[in-house]
Amino acid sequence: MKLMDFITKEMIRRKRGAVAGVLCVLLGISIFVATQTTNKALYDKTKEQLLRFGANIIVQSKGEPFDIYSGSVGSAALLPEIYTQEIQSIEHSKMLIAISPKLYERFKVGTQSLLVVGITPDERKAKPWWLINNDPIVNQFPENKEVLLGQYAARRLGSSSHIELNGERFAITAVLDETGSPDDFMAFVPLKSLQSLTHKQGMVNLFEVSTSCIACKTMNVNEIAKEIDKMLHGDAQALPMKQIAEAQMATLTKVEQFTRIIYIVVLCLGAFLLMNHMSSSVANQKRDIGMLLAMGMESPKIHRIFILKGVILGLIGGFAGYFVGTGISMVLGPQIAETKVAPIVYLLPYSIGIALVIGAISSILPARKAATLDPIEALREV
Amino acid sequence: MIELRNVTKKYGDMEVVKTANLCVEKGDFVSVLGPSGSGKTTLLNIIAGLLSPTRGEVIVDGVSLYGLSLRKRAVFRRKKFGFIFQTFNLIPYLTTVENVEVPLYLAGIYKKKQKMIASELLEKVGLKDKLNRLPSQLSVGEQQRVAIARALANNPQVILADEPTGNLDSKTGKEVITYIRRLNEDGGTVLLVTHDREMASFARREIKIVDRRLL
Ligand SMILES: Nc1ncnc2c1ncn2[C@@H]1O[C@H](COP(=O)(O)OP(=O)(O)OP(=O)(O)O)[C@@H](O)[C@H]1O
Ligand SMILES: [Mg+2]
Repeated sequence: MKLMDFITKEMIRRKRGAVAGVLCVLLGISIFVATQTTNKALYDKTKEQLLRFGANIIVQSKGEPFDIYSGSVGSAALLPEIYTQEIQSIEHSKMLIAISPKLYERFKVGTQSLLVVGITPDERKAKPWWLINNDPIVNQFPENKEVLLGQYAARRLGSSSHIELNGERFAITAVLDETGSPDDFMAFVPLKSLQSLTHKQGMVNLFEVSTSCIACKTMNVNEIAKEIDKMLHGDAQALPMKQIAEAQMATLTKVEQFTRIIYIVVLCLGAFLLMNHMSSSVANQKRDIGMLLAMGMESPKIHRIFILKGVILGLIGGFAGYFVGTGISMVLGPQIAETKVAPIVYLLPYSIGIALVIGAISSILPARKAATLDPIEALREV
Repeated sequence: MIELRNVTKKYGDMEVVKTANLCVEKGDFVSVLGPSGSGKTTLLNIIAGLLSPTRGEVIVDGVSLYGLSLRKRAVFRRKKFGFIFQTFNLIPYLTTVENVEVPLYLAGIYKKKQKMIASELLEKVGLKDKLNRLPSQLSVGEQQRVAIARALANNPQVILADEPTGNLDSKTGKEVITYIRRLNEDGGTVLLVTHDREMASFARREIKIVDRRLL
């Protein structure tokens, strides 16, 4: 026998109790890791969008604009497609590379929810990075009753030669290579097809305006946005993308604060549950502790046994919690954040550190209780 | 070797032990006989250094037990005494051999030697082939034999036994008391408290508790 044996043998031979203790910690740590991992993925995605769409402008309704980040269609206001001409007529129209009007609609395809975007051929100029098997798009651009799928949208839908939207068949022309943008989760059909499918003839949600790179240097993208604004009627406005991305970052910070509250609460709850678990463990082992004290074990040793037990439960819970949390975020992340989620290795030492602290703190009171038991009282209980 | 001088224990107004005087010499086997509730366990706990008396002194090998600090008393206890209880009090998550190793661990003996001594002791009480069983996998008689082996592990000068046969049928009870008797024949000092006249008669010297007094 050695001191550790009192802990390890009890855990091994009373597995259910040990598992319950570990679960208390695992609960908190896995939520902590899952939220941190998902948040980072969201943050990275937004940052990349900010870079990728840096110089672009979005023209959207002043009323209730379409939320391009969540992709929730809801009651987003519409704009007439012919605004393309107004945008085209600005003073520095040479600076414009492409104006792509877009209409969004969510469809149920099988069991999956799919965000479908209506686009015009101009989209090809706006998205030079769209590739199919590493080659630029040639004739796979969707025409009437055809659909082009983003990489993850295609994976989620499984292999098929067509999809059905509101009962109408759309042949799949191709699947885009991964772009690392929300496009990966969307499906693209001709604007006209989507307009007639949704009875929104001549209407769009927004216009994406791509400006040439010369514009980025010689004139501020904000100035072009202002020029566009002048040409628009009162119901629409031009926003430089950067601004939107910054607003998105602010939202992200709020989400982060919210998730922080959640995981702190869950961590505290885990600590509380572990403390309960340890207390009942002390209560159940009262006779054993009494016997050890009667045999002359010093109470500091009893104290150490229970603190160590808490620490070990925490250690296991923290270690397992990291992997469970990472697993959760990798499974759920793509569905919630519509982006790929990568494990964050540096969270492992954090998880273990936090779990150790939880284990130690939760066992302070139970351990003190065990160490100050009166052996006679403890032995009398049957 | 053990001397009680005018030991009195009160719980509130109730005197559970009344001015007890007792002397147990080295190598003696003394039984204290009394009915349930007569204060036997209380007396034994006082002698063991677990329960301080209201008045009086307990002297073991010339040392006044309750003059020692709590910590020193714990060390003293594990050096001098071996305990056998009515309810065995084996640690349920430790195997037979591990239970016997506990006092050896407390005495600071290294692991290999712990195992050796524990196995030998268990062989002596006839449990050689049950070293790795958990207490729940043993009969009550076997459990009490493990408790005896454990009480002997430290080579204690005194065995304190509280109703060691109370939970056993009369046949296993006699087996167990025979082990205790043999212990005494090998030179150990034994103090046994019981309400069982027959068990008490195994001792060299019998003391009765009448009206909370030792006679
Ligand atoms: N902590 C306590 N507080 C109050 N009274 C107590 C306490 N402990 C024991 N007693 C009382 O002291 C008396 C003696 O108890 P003790 O356990 O010593 O009896 P016993 O002779 O060992 O009995 P048994 O044969 O049933 O084990 C009993 O009346 C009991 O109720
Ligand atoms: Mg008793």
